Amino acid sequence: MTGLRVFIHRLRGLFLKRKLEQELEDEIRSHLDMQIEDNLRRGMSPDEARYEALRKFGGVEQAKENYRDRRSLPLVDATLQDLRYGVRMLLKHKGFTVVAMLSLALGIGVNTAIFSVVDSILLRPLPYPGAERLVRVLEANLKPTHAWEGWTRLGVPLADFREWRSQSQSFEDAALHASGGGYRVSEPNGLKYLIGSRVSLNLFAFLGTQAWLGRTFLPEDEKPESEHVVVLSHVYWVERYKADPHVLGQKLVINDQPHTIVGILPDSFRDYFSYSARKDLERALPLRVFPLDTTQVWLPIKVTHEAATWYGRGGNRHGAYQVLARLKPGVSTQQAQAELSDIAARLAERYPESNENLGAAVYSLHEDVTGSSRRKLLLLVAAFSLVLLIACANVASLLLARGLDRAKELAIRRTLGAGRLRMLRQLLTEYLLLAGLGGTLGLALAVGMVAGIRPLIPADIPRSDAVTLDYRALLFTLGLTVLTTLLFGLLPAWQTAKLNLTEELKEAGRSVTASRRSRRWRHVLVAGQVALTMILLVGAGLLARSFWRFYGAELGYDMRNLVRMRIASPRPFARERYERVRPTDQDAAEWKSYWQPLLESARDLPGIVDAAFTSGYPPEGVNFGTPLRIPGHTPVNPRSGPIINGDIVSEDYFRLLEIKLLQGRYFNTDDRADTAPVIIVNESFARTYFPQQPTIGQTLTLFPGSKFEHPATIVGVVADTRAQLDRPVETHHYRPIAQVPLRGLNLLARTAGQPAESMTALQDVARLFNPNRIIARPVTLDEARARLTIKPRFYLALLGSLALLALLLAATGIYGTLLLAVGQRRHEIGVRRALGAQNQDVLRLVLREGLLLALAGLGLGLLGAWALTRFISGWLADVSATDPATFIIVTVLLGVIVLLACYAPARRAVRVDPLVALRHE
Amino acid sequence: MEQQKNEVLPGTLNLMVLKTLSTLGSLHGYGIARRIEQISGNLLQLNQGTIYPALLHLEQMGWISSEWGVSENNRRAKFYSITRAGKKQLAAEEESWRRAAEIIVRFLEPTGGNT
Repeated sequence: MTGLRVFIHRLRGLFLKRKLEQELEDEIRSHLDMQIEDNLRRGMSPDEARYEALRKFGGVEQAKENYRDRRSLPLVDATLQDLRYGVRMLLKHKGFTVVAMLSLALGIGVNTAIFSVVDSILLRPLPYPGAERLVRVLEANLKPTHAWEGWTRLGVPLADFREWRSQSQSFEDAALHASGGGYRVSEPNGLKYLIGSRVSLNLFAFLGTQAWLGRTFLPEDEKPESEHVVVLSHVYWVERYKADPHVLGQKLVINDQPHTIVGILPDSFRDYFSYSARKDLERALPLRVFPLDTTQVWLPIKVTHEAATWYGRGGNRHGAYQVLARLKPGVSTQQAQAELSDIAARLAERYPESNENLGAAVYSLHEDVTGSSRRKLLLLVAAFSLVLLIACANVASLLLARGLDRAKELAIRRTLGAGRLRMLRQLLTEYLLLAGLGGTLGLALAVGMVAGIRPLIPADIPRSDAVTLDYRALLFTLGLTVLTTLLFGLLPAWQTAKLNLTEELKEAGRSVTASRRSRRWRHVLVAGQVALTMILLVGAGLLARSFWRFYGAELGYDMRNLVRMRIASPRPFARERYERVRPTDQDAAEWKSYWQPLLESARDLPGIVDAAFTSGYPPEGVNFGTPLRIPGHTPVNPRSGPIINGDIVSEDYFRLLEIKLLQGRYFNTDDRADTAPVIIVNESFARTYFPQQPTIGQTLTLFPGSKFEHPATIVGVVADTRAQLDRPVETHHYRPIAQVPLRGLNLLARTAGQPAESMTALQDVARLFNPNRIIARPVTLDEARARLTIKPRFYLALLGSLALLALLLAATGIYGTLLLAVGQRRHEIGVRRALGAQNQDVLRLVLREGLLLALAGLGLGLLGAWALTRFISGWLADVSATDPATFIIVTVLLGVIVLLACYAPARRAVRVDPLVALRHE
Repeated sequence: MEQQKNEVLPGTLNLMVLKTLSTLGSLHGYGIARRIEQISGNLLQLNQGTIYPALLHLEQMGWISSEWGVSENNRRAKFYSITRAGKKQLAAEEESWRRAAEIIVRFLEPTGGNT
């Protein structure tokens, strides 16, 4: 209470300073006057009276100073004083202030911007209630066998889910979803695939969402016999129905079944939880005929009696779901995992036939959603903090250099009684002011940068839509400002505060040579900057090289004027197992009635030069391997063999892409369903598996150990191409379309001129032959390549501009430091010139200093880069993390820039006129 | 001949100021200083200037209040007077000092059986 009263009193003292100061002055004057009057009355002479009064009062200024300390808050008062002084100093040295402020603004700005991105994508909780307790639960395949095709995580059958639910204690609530499915929807201009999800009734409530229009699911929707209903995403409702509210109650035909539209979800609802399911779908099914960004149709899970009790146990996992659960407060993921593992073990005992080797896997939803981008974003953060370090080193070396100029001023203040701590505080206040200005400017910069970066963030990074700069970024900037002040300010402040008084006063008058220790520190800082820049440049260089190696390069054939059009299988998506068996008569008939005429008509279109079919999907590629047994090779896994990617192609595929035949023959019309299966391999395949023996005539066993096992004879070896833009050349094989039944294919066509017109014509022709097939919009391979490179380009652009920024900062740092050094050595240079030093001698003097710095920095940077680039090796496709070419190019580039930054100050030194320099003192 | 003067004991100045104000009512800084010197019979070495920080402190604590007024010889001066809280504080301090002084005196006075 008293403390508060005193504080308020003192606060008043702070603001009414001038008035109170006047009052104090008046009070003391009247005191002295009264004393003098009394003294005079006692018979002293006026001088005596005054002297005696002052003596009795005992030090007017001291009394005032004591009074002032008590009157206000001395710390705040002194700080305000320091701030005013700081502002004056900054205004006085405008050049320095601008450079330092810009350095800091850049450093703080880019870091705040990247923080916002990282915070929005990685750190902020997901927009669901109790988000930090949400987990994803799946069944764990404890012995990945051939049966589950190596999948280690499996969906949870309803029956198992119910057992888990009734036996476990760890969870507050749980919901089910089967996301990432492709659903065929009839739209006015034909069939279209939409991404859909079947969910349990409580899913929306579980995620804290209500229908924006209409309703979500009700208990009767779950019954198999009740009417089919669908809830639409806001996006789809706007896109397809133009946000028409009367759409409720209308029918939408999904997978040939009419569904009643009962609700629309709010615009703000995000299905981040189904991200990995959508991602899995993309990996398993390369049929990218629909955008994978968000779930568009929501359907209820229909619970049949079988499903609830047994369905899914017998080995058919089509009735399996993803489980979303919310842990009870205080229960850890590990505890939940342990509990579910126990339950799963009991189930495995009770139902050995279906549940043997099945465990449970519990992991945090947040990690699941953010995991894919975490590593890259954290690396970016690391790179960005390097730039901040460089900026700090820049400012620190500028301050050190300026500290020399200020040595005299500070020494005088010390002599006048300023304490060491007091001076340290004053300097730090000044620096904080500088950092504060830099931080404010940086924040403005960050706002601009975030706005600039946002549209560039690849949309398939989950939560990229939520990137904003909020109060957390503000706090971050504040923290960063204080941190940078400490980073750049402590060294110069410490250097200045430990000044030797007599030395400085003696020396500062002459400034013959710069103080040695301060110069040493400045050298360390400059070398450090060069080293950090080197690390960033090498990192960016490696990424660029890897980028050009794949994304910039061709696939091994001419990609220009090639158009790709996906014609989907009429069946809903399921892994195309039928690819493994021999074709039936029906397949042959379909080839004759649909595919072959389609191909011929496409070829006849004006503007189309040639066309072919392939199951491959250039340039994205297909991760769809075929297990093979190869004569003379014992596979690691005796049950199967190496799994090698292959395409199923029409016989004219090689001609279309001009892929050279090296040995044997291409496919021809004699390779039919009823002739012996043949296969063509690429050069890498032949080299890897048949280095000595002739390749032609070897017989491979396809799908060994499975019921689809059958032989195929190698009839040709073709030149290597890359199947996938982001991978190097790999072993690859081709099988003829006529010998493999396929329901969906890609039509590749080469156009004569501009592909645009031919593309619409292609789509029309494909529709003409069968309006019920889903035909994706044709794209040129160049277009597809551009879309594929968005993400790597984003990271590369970010890191590249960062490296350039670092280069700029470091060059300014070296330039500024040397320029100041030259300025401080004017006198010395003048003396040397007077003693007969030639231009080259002076040039050498300065350049030597710069060169030594550069070499030290480059050496350190090489070591650092060598040690650190391994952390980005995951990003580098087929480029070693210590790629010599990159290291050499970067060293030379940086060396040249550093030399240029040294040369300008050296020229300046040459122009020093000995007469002027000597007279200057 | 120089009289031997005592330093002001730490903490006692506040007490003296409060006591003065409680005895004489409203008074300016110079008056307070004079009064302290008189009471102490000029035995106290008082730097009159030290009285002002002390007055400020007492005012901040809420024990005295101040206002500008005019002195007996028509001079503008700041007059201090004790507040209710100040009186309470004075009573408490007086009591504790009296007790402390008593103890010291007991130590210094030779008692009956101890010689």
